[in-house]
Amino acid sequence: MRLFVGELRKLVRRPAAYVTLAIELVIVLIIYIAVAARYGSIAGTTPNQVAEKAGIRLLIEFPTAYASALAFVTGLGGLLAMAFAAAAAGADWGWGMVKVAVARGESRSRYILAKLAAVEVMLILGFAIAYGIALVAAIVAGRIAGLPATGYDDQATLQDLPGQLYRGYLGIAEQASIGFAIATLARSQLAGLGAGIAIYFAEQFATIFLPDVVKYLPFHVATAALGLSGGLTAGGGANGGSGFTPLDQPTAFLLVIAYLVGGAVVSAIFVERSEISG
Amino acid sequence: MTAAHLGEGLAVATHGLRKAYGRTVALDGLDLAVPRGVVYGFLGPNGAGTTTTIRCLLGLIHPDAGTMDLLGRSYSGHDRRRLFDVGSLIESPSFYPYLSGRENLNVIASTGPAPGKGRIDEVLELVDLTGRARDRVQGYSLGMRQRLGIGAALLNDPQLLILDEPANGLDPAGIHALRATLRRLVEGGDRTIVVSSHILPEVQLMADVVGIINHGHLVYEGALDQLLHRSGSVRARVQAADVPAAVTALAGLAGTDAVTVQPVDDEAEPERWIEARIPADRARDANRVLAEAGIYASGLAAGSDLESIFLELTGGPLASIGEGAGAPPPVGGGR
Repeated sequence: MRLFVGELRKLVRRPAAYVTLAIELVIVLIIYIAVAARYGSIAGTTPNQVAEKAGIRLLIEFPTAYASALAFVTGLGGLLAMAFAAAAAGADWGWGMVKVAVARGESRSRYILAKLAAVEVMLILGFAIAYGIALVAAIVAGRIAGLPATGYDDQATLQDLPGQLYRGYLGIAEQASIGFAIATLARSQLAGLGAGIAIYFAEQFATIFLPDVVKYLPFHVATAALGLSGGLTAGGGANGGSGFTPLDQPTAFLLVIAYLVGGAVVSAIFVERSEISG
Repeated sequence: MTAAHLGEGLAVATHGLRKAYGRTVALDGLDLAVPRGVVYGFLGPNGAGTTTTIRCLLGLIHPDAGTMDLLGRSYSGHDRRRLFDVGSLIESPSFYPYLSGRENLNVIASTGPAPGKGRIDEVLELVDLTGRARDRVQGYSLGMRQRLGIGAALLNDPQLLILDEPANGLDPAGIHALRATLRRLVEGGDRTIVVSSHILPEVQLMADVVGIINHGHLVYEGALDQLLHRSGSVRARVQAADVPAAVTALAGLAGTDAVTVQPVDDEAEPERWIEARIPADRARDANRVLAEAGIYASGLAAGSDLESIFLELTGGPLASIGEGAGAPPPVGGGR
């Protein structure tokens, strides 16, 4: 517990934690404002314009905005969580703190797992804040677009929401675990950040060519695990438009857990076996 | 350093320690025996294996062969709890730059053994950082970081302290304070401090025992006083015209191969330093033989310095006698 609290204390004081959250919030706000502005500028006289307006309403009209906000926050948040976890793991190597902990007789795997646990706890807070802000942004965007202020208390949606939030968080946690593992293997936060971004965009790109493979990859299984309906995808388009069939939600959820645990196990095994020379 | 100290068991012992990185052999059957209750100067040229040895002792890397004992018990490198009694500063001190000095000590203290209540305040006081404890480490000078690193090493009041280049970045006052602190830490107890440093004059002032390694194996280990005595020298400054006669006179005392003349930049220099490698307590004899030869030295210095001995033992270039023609030669100093 002492170790976990120590790790949490580092992250709470780390500017990168707040920068990461700020990036997420700024992007979410910009998207919602842009969507609201776009909605007002569409005449809605052609079939394409009508379809576009319907698509935008999914994002900023309640109750569907609950799910769309979750899709945004988990999609973009997954990438940022991966970067944040990579920074947390990699910096410890760069600043020589793994060396200090091991030389003090700390268990290598306990140290690295406590650090990952602290990262995941920080992500709960970040996720909650980002989702709350996204909902507020959706409400404001809906008002700007002149949509009716109804649907906030849709019982069916609100009943599903806790489960979706839980799965959405686990998706973020899964991506953080992978970023953490990459940075641990590379002993570098930059490598972790780079690899995380590369995986994210490679998945989007490969959707076109390798749909049967991509659906098993981290970002796509996290999206599928959310179990969102109505054509919503994490990040606003992880599988958008590709026409491939994502994994069913239970299978995707199991894979999310597998990736999450796998990242932790790989990190722990690597640190146990590594020679620390830096 | 006393014989009693040597008889009280070993703080660190390695037997046939070997470690290779690919084809490069860093440690080649290293046998160390560090007595308890001393400051042990662990010396070696760059690449000799000092840092590799320290990493093995601290469980950071695993030796290919050989055994280690820490504080009298066998240590495999995997038995991490043995390190609870060890404090260390390895290479450069490591900290989170965005945290304050106190916060850094707090998070370091969350790993390994839990330090006693109030220990962080004690340590900050000990390394003279109480006034800056709330400042972020990124604003610390190199010397302050070094002091904080030593403070971190002392968090658990360890029985064995392993410090790699602890004087790095310290100003003369800081080095003096470090030396005083380390001496105070070993006095009156059986705490042991292993100091690896390239600042040999400082080691000479600080250490009781030295171990010198080269190419991964031990070339000397023993009491520093004995080493300095055994490897002492006497230097005499004489007129240039008297050099041949002075060399002959000193060679009669020390042997032909044991007398060297300091090279000079300017042949017009009126005087030269001559060094005879004889125990420092034979300075009077050297002065006598010179006088008997009708040569009156304008300067006489006796003693020996660790740097010269180190270079000799590790095959490096022999140190020149003094920085300039008129400068006094380096001699050994007491602690």
